[in-house]
Amino acid sequence: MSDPYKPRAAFAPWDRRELPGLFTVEESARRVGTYKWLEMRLFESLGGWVATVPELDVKLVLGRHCYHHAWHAELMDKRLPELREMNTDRLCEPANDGIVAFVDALREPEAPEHTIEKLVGVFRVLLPRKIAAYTYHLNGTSRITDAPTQRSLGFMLQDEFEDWREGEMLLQSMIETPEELERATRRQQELEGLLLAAGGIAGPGTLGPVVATEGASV
Amino acid sequence: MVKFDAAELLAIAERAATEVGVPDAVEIDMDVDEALPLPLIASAVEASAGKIDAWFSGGCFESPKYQAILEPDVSKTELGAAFLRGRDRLDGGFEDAPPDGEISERQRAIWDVYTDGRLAQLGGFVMNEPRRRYTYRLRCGFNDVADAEYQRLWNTSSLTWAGLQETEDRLVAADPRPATKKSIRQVSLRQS
Amino acid sequence: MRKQLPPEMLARDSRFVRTSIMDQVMDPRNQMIGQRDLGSARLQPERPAAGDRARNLMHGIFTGEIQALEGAGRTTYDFDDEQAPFALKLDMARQCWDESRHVEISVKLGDWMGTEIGEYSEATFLYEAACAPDPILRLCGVNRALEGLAIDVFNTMKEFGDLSGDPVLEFCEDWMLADEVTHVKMGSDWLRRLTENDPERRERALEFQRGVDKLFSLGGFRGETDENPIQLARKLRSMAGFSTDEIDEISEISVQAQAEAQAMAGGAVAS
Repeated sequence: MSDPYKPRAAFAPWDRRELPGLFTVEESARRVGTYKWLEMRLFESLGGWVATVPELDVKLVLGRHCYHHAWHAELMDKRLPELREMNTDRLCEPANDGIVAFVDALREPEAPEHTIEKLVGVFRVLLPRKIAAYTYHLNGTSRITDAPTQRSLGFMLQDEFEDWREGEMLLQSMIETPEELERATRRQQELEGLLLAAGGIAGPGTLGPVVATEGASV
Repeated sequence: MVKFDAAELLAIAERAATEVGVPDAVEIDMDVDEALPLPLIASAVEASAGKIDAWFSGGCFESPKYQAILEPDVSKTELGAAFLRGRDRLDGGFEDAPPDGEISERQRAIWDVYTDGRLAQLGGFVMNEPRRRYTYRLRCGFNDVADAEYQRLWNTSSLTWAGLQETEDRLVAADPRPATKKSIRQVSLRQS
Repeated sequence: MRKQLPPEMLARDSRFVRTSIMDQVMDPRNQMIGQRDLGSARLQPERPAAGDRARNLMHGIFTGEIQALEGAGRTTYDFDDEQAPFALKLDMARQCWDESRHVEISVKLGDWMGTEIGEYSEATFLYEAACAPDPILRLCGVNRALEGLAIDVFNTMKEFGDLSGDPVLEFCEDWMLADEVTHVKMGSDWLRRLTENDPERRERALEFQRGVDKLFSLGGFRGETDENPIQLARKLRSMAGFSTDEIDEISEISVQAQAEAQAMAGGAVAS
């Protein structure tokens, strides 16, 4: 008969989680606040666009995805007080003015003829960037101390990947001519340029430590 | 009340009559009740002594997108269906069928499937087969027996009134729905 | 992208044709039918042209759901964080998802019933209820009036499905009904919360809702008599948070709307 009082290690041999992580409580909270801000702007944009796109299947996808990103914002909103940020509005802000400029450009198209531009902004620029940033955060933060953030990011990434796939398929089905391809490419370049200037969706250091250049302060 | 061009409707009727094989010697008399709009789609046909009398609600010919405007393709199908039933009454196996005002909704639904199926086989008539199937199911039941009878009726080109009644018997036997109280038949849309 | 998108800018593909609801209400043929003895106007399977009437209504539900989706979507975008709290926008985003689903269900039901997308014309009066600049007015117009109408319509369709033995229609309408009760409760809850200390704003919102309810009664489309194709769903409205007084008021509004439309149509026929 096995001995129930025999000591067992707190971490099973197959549990390789380590304690250290890349982010302090404050840094994790800062990033979470920027994610919340961005998810809010995104779900507002998707919701606003529903009435402006004539394509019926795109309308329905935007309506569904609107809720996904609203829920992500809610997850981040709930996490903030747990990261010592009781005023959940205080950290709910863009990483910098460059992100504001990006979002303004993202939601600028309105005409019914500009569905390609709307979708490219979301599915070929923003969602891939979010996937990268969330993955970096999920992989980099402590798997033990920041487990709740990891869990939320895991759920969010599941949506992001599926939504990205769905949006990409919509785009591939809509881009049928060289002219349409040109529009999509131009739009992507325009928006990627703005994100490059912003340093990523969480600002400089979105995907790693900011490397100081000679003469610059970090 | 409606913006139908009588000459246009007449021309469509003549084409429909020709395409469903109404002999030139048969006179057709049409009566359209313009006061009945879409979706009040109803028609009635009587035939005897080489004449077909057809009554239609205005909704039979009305465009679903543009109020009170004639829809030529759908009109041709409604007219073709009515004239086919007129031919059925004259010499198509329905000579002993009661007048339209006396047949049940179920019987009419069966006859309509038989009619639309023949129009589909003829070609040249726009056909909304799912609509016909749904209307049939409302009258005859949502069950496997009804669906099988539907397929048979749609694909056959020779049905008689007696055959229709036998079909109805099978449908009634398979229909689990409680018998409804006396219903208002389509033709009661006709102003007396 | 601008805030407050007007109804004429609602984007549609080439299958859709826009019409004015007043053209339908003022159709002189309505008056002529009213003068005939055609029995009850209720949407029931044994009534004349039941199949085509149900298909017509299903297409109206389909376009209504698109407009409800668009209205909820615009509410997430049109207001800043001070005008509409985060939690309110979350509810609207959830409603977007629900309405997307309802459009999908309506398309599938259309396939089932033989109704094609764009087969009938579309009136944008439902979205127009979502065009108020005050989010509370918008909530009352959409979540209480429009969704309240949806409860009435879906309940009628569910009963239609039940009576006709149509398992698909009854099943789908019941699921959509559950969502609509949620949406009405959202509207009722936010009305209470956002006007807790502002009775004038509350009264303005309720007045706006009454106007929308009257429009939605559409000359007798909805009511509690045999002359109304759509029946007021009292029990489900109670479940959704409408008081008995509110339901009685809607019933009274419906009677007024019908009488006014008949009077106007009578004038149109006479002229």
